[in-house]
Amino acid sequence: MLKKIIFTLAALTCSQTVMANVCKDDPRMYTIKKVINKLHTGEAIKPLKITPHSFLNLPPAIRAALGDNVMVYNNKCVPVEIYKSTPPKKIAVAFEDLSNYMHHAAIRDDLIALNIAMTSFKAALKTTDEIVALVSPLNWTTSAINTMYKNGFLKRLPQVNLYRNNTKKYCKGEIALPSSINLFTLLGGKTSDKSKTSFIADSSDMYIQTINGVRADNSIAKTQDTCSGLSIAATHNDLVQTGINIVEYGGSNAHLHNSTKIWLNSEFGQR
Amino acid sequence: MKKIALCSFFISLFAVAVSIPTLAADTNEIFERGALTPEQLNAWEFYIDSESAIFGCEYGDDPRLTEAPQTLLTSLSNGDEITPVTITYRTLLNMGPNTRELISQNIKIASMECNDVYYSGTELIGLPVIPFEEAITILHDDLANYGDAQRIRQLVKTFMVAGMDPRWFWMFFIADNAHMDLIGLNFDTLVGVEQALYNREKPKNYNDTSHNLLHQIFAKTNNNAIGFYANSGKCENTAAEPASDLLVWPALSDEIIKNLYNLYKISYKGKWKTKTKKTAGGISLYRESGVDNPVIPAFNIERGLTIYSKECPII
Repeated sequence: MLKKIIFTLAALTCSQTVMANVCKDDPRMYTIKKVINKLHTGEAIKPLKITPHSFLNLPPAIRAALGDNVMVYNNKCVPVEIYKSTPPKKIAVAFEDLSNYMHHAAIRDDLIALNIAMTSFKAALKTTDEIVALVSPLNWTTSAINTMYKNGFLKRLPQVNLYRNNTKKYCKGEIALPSSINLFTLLGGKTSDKSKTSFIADSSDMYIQTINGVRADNSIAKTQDTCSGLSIAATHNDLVQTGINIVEYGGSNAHLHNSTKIWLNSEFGQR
Repeated sequence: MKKIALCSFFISLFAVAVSIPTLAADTNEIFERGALTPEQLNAWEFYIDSESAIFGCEYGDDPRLTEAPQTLLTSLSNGDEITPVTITYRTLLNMGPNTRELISQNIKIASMECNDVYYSGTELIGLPVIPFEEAITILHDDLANYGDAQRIRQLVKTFMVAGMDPRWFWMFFIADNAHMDLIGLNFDTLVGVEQALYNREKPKNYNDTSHNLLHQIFAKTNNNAIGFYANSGKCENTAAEPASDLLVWPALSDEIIKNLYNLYKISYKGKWKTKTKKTAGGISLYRESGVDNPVIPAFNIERGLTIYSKECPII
């Protein structure tokens, strides 16, 4: 009985230790001014252990002042040393968080931070359901999106729906708004499962639904009178990039089939 | 060269105190130089508290700054180990240089979304999310003090404006020229802020459209947009609105409000009933009926205009 109690207590203690294992910034971030002053006077300091959020928020001058006296927590909350301002291996971060950090860096026009985010971080795995939910416009401010375009972090795609001739007329000269799924794939985002997802596209609409019933935002694909935030072709390409198991239905989108294998599977039913 | 110029800007932004003289560790209150009623101020405080509570924190200055400022400054001066001092971005900018120097020894910048923001003594590490009232006051005061449009365009990149329900926006920030003083801001200076943000050569004429001015400024900030969100994640609607005596601009019309709703794709139905009613104090323009148990205490009146969350089918 005593053994059982001791075991239970030990298990409880262990679980609490695991739960308490939340990455937090080095408290010296509150006194960062002193830290930088020390470095300026040539005094050695113990590296600051900081979260990816704070690492990507360092303004260029402070990043330069700190040099490699920084360690960044990885997704297991283990501090990783950096070399020449970047971690040796890409650190996986939840997509929503990474997108948010990049959004803030783009608002600040911090191209160094954006470069580091794109090259030294990646989006953590997501389930197929979660990925399909990312088929929506990227919820960033206009100035931040412009910073991304202007500096080549996002491709300037012409706003073209490949199946609708009059889209060119309505959307002439417009640039496609970025989508969350596009940023997710640019950040190397992949699916963590192989559950099937139906993809149906015709001349003006796109229907995407996972086997669990999660649907993509269909409103974005209605391009009859206005310019869509997402084109069907780009979305399809992004979904393929994430590695999700796409089950396509026929229709006029024959050219899409070059990029992915086609399954005609009755389990999704017909439109 | 550009980097040096940008760096110099940030250094000057913080190193030179904004010229409003402050006591040792004064904090800055909401609508401080305005003439709003206690009910209006309470309503805005409710907005700030409820919005930051969504993210799990409280927004505002460290109580030690007002309750025991001398003790706090002495502790900082002695290098004592104390809890970091949390201050809002506005308070940081308005501090005298000596106080800022001391407080930046151990500091945290408040953010309505609870994200960590630090201060190095010359620049922020992170982006604070602040209420729109604080944002416009910061931009207004900076232009009034320095008259430098380039500073305004840089300053606006150092913060984000918190999201808000449209009713908060029109309650406080749709006001004509004559009522702008109530929120404590100079109309001409605000026109200058707008000019700086839009990089216009000449100020835009707002004589006939003064009620659009603050929204034009809002639109050029990095903001989390205006929206009516359902707490349940399912279709919700409400006709609850602030009473007319809470509005900064009592002559505000539902047509102007509908324009705002259209702009942010907020579905609505109905219109304000414009029946005039004589009251002891004069004439009330709109027939208002009370709301039982309002979700937001300040929105306790109905006039016939209902808004819908985005989960609702298109009306």
